[in-house]
Amino acid sequence: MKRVLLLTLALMLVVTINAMAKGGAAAEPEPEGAREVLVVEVLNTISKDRLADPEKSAPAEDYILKRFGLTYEGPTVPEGEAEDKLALMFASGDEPYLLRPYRDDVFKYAREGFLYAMSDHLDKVPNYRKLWPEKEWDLLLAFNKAFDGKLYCLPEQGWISCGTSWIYRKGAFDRMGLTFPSTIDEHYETVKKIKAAHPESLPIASRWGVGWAISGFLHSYRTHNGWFVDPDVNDLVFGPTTEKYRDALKYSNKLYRENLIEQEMATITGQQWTEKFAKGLAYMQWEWTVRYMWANTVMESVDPEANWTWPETFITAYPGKPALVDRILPFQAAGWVITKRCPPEIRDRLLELLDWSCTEEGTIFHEFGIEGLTFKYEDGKPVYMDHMYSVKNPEGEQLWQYGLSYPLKRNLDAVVQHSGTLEGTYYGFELEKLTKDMPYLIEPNLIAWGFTEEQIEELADPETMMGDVVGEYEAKFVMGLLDPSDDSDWADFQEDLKKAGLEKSSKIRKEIFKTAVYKLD
Amino acid sequence: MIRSVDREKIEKYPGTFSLMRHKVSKSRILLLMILPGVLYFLIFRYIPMYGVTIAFKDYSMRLGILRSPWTLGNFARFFAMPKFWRLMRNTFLLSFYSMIFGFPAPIILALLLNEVRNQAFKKTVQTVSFLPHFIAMPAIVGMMVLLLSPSTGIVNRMLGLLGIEPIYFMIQAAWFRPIYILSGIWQGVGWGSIVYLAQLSRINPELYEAATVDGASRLRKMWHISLPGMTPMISIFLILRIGGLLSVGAEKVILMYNELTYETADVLGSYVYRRGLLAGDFGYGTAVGFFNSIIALILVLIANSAAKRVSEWTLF
Repeated sequence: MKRVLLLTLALMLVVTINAMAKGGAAAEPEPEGAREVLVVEVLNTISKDRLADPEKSAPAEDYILKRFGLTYEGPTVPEGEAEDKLALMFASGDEPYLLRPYRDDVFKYAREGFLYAMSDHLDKVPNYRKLWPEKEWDLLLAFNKAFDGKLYCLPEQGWISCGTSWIYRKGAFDRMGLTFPSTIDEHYETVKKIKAAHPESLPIASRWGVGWAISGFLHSYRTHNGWFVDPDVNDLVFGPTTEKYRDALKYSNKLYRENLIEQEMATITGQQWTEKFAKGLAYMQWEWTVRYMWANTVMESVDPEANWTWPETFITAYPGKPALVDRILPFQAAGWVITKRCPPEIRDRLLELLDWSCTEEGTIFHEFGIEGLTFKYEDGKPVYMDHMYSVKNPEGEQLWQYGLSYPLKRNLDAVVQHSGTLEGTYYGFELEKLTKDMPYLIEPNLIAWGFTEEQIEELADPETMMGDVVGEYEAKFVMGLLDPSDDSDWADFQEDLKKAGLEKSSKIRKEIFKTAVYKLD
Repeated sequence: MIRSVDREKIEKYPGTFSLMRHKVSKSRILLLMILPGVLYFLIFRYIPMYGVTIAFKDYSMRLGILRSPWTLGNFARFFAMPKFWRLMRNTFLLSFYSMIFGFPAPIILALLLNEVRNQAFKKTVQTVSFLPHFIAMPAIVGMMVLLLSPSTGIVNRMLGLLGIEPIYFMIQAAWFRPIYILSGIWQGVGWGSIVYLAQLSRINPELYEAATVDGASRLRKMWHISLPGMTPMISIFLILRIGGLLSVGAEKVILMYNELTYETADVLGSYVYRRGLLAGDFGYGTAVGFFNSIIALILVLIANSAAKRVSEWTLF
């Protein structure tokens, strides 16, 4: 009897657990005249500081359900566990229908045969296709076509062409009667004056190691600490083998010796870096330009008139020759893919949704939300409502709380209201105007190489070692442990580069470069 | 209670199935209690062992483990890594020094705490000493960078008071191992001493009383009573620690190192991370893990065998 009871209890437990695992929510009845509701299997990832509010996100989900007959279902994991979870899902044949991987992962999934080829369905996304002028479309294909020449993802469209520059404390410069320098000699004089006026100051701040600390100067000297297309010889060159790179190191070392640049650049932590700003010690930095907003906020208590901003000029080491600027590809490195596990009717519905997201109406929905709930129209233009986050209301509610973010194309009005200035400008657009005619650094990420898997594997070890050698010597030269002006130290550097595999890397890269695509203009 | 029929059977067939069945029946409640644990290990530890075959496969997600083609390429790539021997050397030395200096530390702390008579002080020291165990690694390394900062760090300020020029510890390859090991000891000594203190608390107090009567000093008592009382635990933990000689966690190394310290800091885990080798390459990652496991097994067997010669306390 006891045994029968135990067995019955066990059976009931198993049945209960099974029912819970399958979920218990009954399907909601379809509204009249609505499209058949299709369920899209996804993998939801959550970030602890970006959790959508279920109540707030319901209207947006409802809209998509009514308009496209689509609803999403799937497991939810913290951001840090998403990669492992996704790998498991693919390995067990349970992969989500829709995801947004980075390019290398797109190629990997495509090679394994998991994905629909988007190039076979471009007729279903005419609005997406219209986003790209012919040259940009050719570039998109050059970067994103897989091993078989097909396009397996729809990359997101970028919205700025240049994102890095010097940022400087204009308010302090104005008080000292200084203007932002346009040449290296002017730069040296400027930082010397800042140091003389404020001996405790850090004229040139930095974070993220030695490479980032001197990045602005590498741009000034029209060079790079890796492979790049040198505009002075119009050829692919490994920067650390050039005299221009050596000159940039000499200048950086000079700044370091005279305590004009961050002294602990090799190990500086985020906290140490923030402290320098919070104490009002920093005056300029090579950075992601958008950081000017953060700098003003952090420095507000010690210098409310700091007025961090980007300059109207870039610093050149060669008067008459402009510095190099960074350039961002017109498309992002991530894009939307649909796996073959997705039934064709759901695939087509998803393509319809993605295509709609590229229209004016679609971008307004994804970046402004629901009219009357998160935005209103003023003079025919969408404007965030008073309770929503904008540059005028930094304490407002965020759009992601409403379950919204843009999938493929940004709404530029939203960009300005969300991330611009009170005057209605946006740093990215201003920087674009400033740099559009300047030569840009054509580094490996801006070149569609067309490597085979074998070539990638062949390059991986030597180029990791070369990167290690460059990093080590760069740090030693800048921080004075070695002398960049000393020919024997320099010769040792070049010798170590060769031992690391420079010749092998050079041979493969230069051969591939003959057919690579890299012109952005 | 054994029925007379069973007793006859047991006597007739002492080592057979019926005896086993009788024993199982007798201990069925205990076996039922242990069943979930056994099932857990069977399902999540033993059955997944077949996944180690991925190390010998050119793994494809589409084909799965069984249908992916066989290869030794993962191991070939592993051994052909540039500076493979430097990476092995650093991995081994970091672990070896951590063991030499770090293993005795909790034992010494436990012995010293055991001598403290003031219970309040003893408990306070215990609590304070094991709190660092709960601090996340990035916070530990961040604290180290701040403490050792050449401009604002307290260590350099104290050196300055002694007339010594500031030392930029974190960029010097020679300082990497000492900092790694000392910070590891600081973080783990309190937590590690708990199990030894528990062992010490089981020692019969009469032994200490008898030693006092015989005129033994505190050190003598420690040497002849306390330490032998911990020998079983020390022996087993040492064997396990030797088995982990190639298992240096890459997380702390990656957080601590920079280009200037690669010579002594770069270990197997940090190189494969930098190379991006593990990203989606399950075959390679498994090969590296499998190699480490084989070395660990060999070391454990050697250590266990050596321990058998000097002590009755071994792992198996």
